[in-house]
Amino acid sequence: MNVEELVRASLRDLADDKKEAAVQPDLADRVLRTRSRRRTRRYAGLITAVAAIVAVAVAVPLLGPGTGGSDPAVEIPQQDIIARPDQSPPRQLVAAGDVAVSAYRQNHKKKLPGKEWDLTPVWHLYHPATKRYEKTNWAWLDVAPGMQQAAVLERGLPADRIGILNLDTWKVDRWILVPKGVGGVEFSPDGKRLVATAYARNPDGRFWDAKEKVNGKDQPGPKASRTGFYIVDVASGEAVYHRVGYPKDLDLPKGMPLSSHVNPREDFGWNADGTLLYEFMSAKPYIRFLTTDGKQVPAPPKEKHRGYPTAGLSPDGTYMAGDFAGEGNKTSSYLLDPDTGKPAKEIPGQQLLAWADSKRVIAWDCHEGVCGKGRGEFDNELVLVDIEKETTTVLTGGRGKKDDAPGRWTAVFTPRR
Amino acid sequence: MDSASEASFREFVESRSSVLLRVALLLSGGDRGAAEDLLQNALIKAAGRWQRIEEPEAYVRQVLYRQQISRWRLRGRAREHSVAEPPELTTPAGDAAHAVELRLVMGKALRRLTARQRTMLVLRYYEDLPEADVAELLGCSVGTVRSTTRRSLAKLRTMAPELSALASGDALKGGPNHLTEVRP
Repeated sequence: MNVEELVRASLRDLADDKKEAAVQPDLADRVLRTRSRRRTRRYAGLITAVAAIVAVAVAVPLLGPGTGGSDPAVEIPQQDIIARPDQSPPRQLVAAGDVAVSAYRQNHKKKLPGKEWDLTPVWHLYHPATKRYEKTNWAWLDVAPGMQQAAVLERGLPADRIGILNLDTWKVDRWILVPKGVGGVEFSPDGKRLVATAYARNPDGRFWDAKEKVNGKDQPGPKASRTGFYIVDVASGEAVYHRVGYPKDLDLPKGMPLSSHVNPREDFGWNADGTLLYEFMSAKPYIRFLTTDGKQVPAPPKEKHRGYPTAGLSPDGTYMAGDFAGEGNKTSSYLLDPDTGKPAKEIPGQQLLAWADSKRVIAWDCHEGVCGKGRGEFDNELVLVDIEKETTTVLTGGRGKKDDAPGRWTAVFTPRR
Repeated sequence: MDSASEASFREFVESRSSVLLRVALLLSGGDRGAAEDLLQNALIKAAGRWQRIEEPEAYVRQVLYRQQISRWRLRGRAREHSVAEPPELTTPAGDAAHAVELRLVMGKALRRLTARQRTMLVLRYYEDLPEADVAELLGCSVGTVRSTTRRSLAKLRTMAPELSALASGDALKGGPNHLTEVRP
């Protein structure tokens, strides 16, 4: 046999390895979904280019310098499961199914003059060029679906402009002015709009004029200062402000300050299909939905029973992520029937964070589903839970025993396609 | 894409993606992640013009090959795999072990070729395409196909001299073996 014949035989032999050639069962779904997202982004890019020309011609005041642009130039690894069980926080990309950990934030406490505190976290953002999470100096950020760009806020919240960071060049393409001051941003599910929550004071600040007693000692306290939100059209840079107060029907005992009943940071988020906004409340029904104009509306039928677990509604609408269901040292969570709110399934996982696809959800979980054993309930890692097989795949290392330790990290998930 | 086209696209993916993934695996030198990416991107392209494609499989294959070549152009040679460890040859027990051994050595050797060299070999020896067809498919001259194929085979021989030995069965008797590190 000469080398040519050998190459021929070997190639056939390699190709016949049936185990290797097993295809993911949902490949067609994935292709069709990715295609529609890419089309949306291309369209957005075109509008951006046109908007940039218009901005030069009529000098739209909201747009800062820069030409904008959101070409899908960044390549994000697409292997089905990218796990780093030996890394906490992760140094290299972590991903599963449709989503990736696009960034993570770490607890951080900065002492300010006058002994006030700024608890703005430290952000690490996935940098496609270095293929690592890089430490940044942003105060808050969110990554757009497809991981081509991010919306960023500068330190010293509230920020009066939102940067659109290009993840290919790692530079801010343009600034969108938000004169009321904002403390948080979130991309809509289609990546075309942002909701930026407006605050009068730093939502992560602790102030003497809101001092609180902890263990009998005065210390700077949180201040509820939310004023409303901006809806930003990413392509055109148009930002429209809506004044929205805190829910009026909160049943506060007389004399109790609002701050003791409302989180200082209570950002607005998008609902599952991106048509409405929601916010959590401290009293029943614990969540309320608003139009993008700020008017309160009834909950959408499938999201009536949405709770704190950020995973929310599964992509196919079959389940709503429910609360912790474990007992003792065992960890598990409910999947709810979205129509009735009743538990439909109990699956492994301490806290359900993001759906990888309709059959798998990413969660915090204790080692092998058992807390304790010298590690404790806070020493949890990211895991991928298969909701049918009820098995878990470890994605990262554990976060350590202390819930409030400096540097403790929280993952941010973004569709990677 | 209307619902009938979507149904036929899904049917195509279900029935042919395993075969196409094999081609992608060969093109990527056995890197499963890269192969899945390659196939997915080719299918996205096909989905975009599904109603106008007459022979879907031929179209997707063509995209796979061209994409692989353009990836090579974009990324440059620096990102090619450079495998440090030589394959460990044990003394196999029979024909099955021999085949496994051969596949291992060949797999590693193929990974050290450039994407372009690998693509040429896959087209010539896996797809059995004549030189003229390869040239047309990849948009180069017949001379380029010939010279690249010749160089690729020579490189395989240099990198893995035991390939010939394995083919004749000599290496199975044991003895030292070594892959020479050849940088592209």
